[in-house]
Amino acid sequence: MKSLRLHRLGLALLGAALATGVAAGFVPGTGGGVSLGAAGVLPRTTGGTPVVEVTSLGASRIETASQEAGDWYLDITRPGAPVRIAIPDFQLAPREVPASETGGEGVEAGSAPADPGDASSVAEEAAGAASVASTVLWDDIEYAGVYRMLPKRFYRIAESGSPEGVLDYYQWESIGADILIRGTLRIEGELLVAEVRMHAVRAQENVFGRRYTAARGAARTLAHRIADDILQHAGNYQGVARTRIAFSTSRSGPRSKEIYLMDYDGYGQRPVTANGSLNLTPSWSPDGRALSYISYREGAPALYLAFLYQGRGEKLVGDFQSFTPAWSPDGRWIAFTSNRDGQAEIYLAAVDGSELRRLTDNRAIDVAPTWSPNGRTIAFTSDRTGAPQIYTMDRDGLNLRRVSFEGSYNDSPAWSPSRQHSEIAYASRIERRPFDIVVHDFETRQTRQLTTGRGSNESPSWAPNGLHIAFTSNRAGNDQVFTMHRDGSNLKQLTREGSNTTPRWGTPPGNPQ
Amino acid sequence: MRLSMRLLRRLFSPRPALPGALLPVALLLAGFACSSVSRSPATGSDPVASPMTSPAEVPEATPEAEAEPEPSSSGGLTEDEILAIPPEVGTETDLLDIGAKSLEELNSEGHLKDVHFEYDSAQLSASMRATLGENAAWLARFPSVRILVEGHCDERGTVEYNLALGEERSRAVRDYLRDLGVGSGRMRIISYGKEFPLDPAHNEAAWRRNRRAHLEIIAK
Repeated sequence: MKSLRLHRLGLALLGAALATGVAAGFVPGTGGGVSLGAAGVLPRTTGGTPVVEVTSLGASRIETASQEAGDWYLDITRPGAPVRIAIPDFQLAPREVPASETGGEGVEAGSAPADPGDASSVAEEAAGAASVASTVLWDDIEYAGVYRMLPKRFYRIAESGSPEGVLDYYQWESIGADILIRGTLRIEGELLVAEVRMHAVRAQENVFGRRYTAARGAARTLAHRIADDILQHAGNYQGVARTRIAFSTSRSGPRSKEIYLMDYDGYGQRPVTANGSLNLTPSWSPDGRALSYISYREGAPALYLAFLYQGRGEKLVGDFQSFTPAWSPDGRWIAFTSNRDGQAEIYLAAVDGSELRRLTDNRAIDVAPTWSPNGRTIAFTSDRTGAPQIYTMDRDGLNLRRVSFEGSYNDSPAWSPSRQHSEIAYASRIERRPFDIVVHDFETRQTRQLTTGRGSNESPSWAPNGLHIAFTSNRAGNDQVFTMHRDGSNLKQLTREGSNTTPRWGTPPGNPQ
Repeated sequence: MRLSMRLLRRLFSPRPALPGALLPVALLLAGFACSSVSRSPATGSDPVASPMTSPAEVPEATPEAEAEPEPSSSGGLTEDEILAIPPEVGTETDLLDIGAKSLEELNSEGHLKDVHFEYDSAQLSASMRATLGENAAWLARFPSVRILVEGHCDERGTVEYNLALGEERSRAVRDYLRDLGVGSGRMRIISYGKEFPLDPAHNEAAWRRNRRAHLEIIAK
């Protein structure tokens, strides 16, 4: 499966390279993709997310003008062969600013050092940050699944063959590296400063060089940012390192469930709600700055919005009962189920609460809406034929079509946000067996099964790049959140405390789809 | 018979439940209750009820039974006299003093019975309707009581669909109770999906217990 995926990548890259008319070595592309080359600063966030600032290292030092143009495409002289990447640990760079000059203004005190003036404790902290950043960067790149990770034990061979401080491309080529990522890290005042360079080994070019700064203690965030940059530049691949997953957890107490957030790798699990009631089925705003969810805090389940970076919440729809909200891709609408007209139907409400429209009208249950990436179609679950099945309709409620025909019980559809793959994931039950995650491809009209009978597997949610799926499984006992690749490989368990359900994968803040 | 015994219990209740004006009537009824109790064995050994007699003919062929005052119906009183007794619709004279109990106590005493659904169904079976009929009678007895009809599901369905299924179950129960005369204003519905199982086990018996509508008393 992995080689297949890499082969597809190879073909895509071939096409991209042909489009630019060049086909050897690392090729500076001129088209498409999001160029961050000259950009500097991420939108500042105020909700506890450490700020990472990025500056391109000067062309005079590292890059040529042409290399700053945008994306690089990979070598296609060996089509189909895996691209091997070497990522040595971050090296500690000498500090450029004396400790006495530390300012720290405007930086969040994520982990303020005990004594910034103590050189040895700062060095220790820098070493710790370098270790964390090295591990996180490695894991992030590996998670993407597009490169073969060259084991670190080979690196000593390449490094020992090179004179001190000199990069000898032949040494790295000799151990099989196609791409080499080297970085340094130091503490400057209240900041972590990393400089990262990406090298095309056989072309013997430094194709990428950037300086990243982040608050001290934000080494993970720093490494996530670097990983996404590398993936973007090396393969026009939209990484998920800075994405987060919202979910509902029972860990905070009996008879209650709170909405929590975590990084895509399960790190940093933290509460969004803390009202001691039932809080269920979160859904992300497309800009990653807000969640809609259902809360029973006032009795009946009502539709709430949580603005994560303002620490503010509001009730959007309160009358009667509301369930399973889904934020539209344009950010303007919430689709949800309500019984306000007597039975469970799907409605649209504007995010400011100004409009309410009913989309379905029948005696059956209609629930769990999910939007197509272009926002024109909504998929949902209905038991109008007697058992729950997946349907689609236009966003005005017309043009109803049934999607799922196999299985006796299909629910929790999730439409892939991918631009490459037109597909929908859902939980499917054959006969009375537990649920498995399946994906229906609208183009081929084929359905593929991603999980195979280990526990019950439910509530799929796509990563923003459409290449990974988070879901709930009880294969390890009670319900926990897992992620896997869209082909079912690379399974990872993210939660362990309490029971954890209905994961929803969101974009990083200020990075709308 | 049932009526008389209830009045008897009420008479000897330590709480001064009956207005003094009604005392004679109550005593009279109590007298009938006692006579009926003492007569019961005699009726049981009545020679008329012999094996030779067809059971269907027994009531008609027993003039003594006809003449017998029937405590459970009229008790031998005129209608006017019966009407002198406060109607049993949850005034402060009811044997069950809901005013003296907390909502928690009332709910834990199980006056209102859960009904249990089939898998992935919100249909009311005959036995469920019978149970709801008893619940409706109890609610008619205490018209000040208001309830929350909770719809619950077993763990085998999905979180999302079960929220809607629980809603449908609570609605089916609410609508049936309304048909039985329980005012809509006394009932609210809520779905808890599969979030609050009664029985955490993972087997058929637990699932059956968990697929339920529960009637929670929220005001009295």
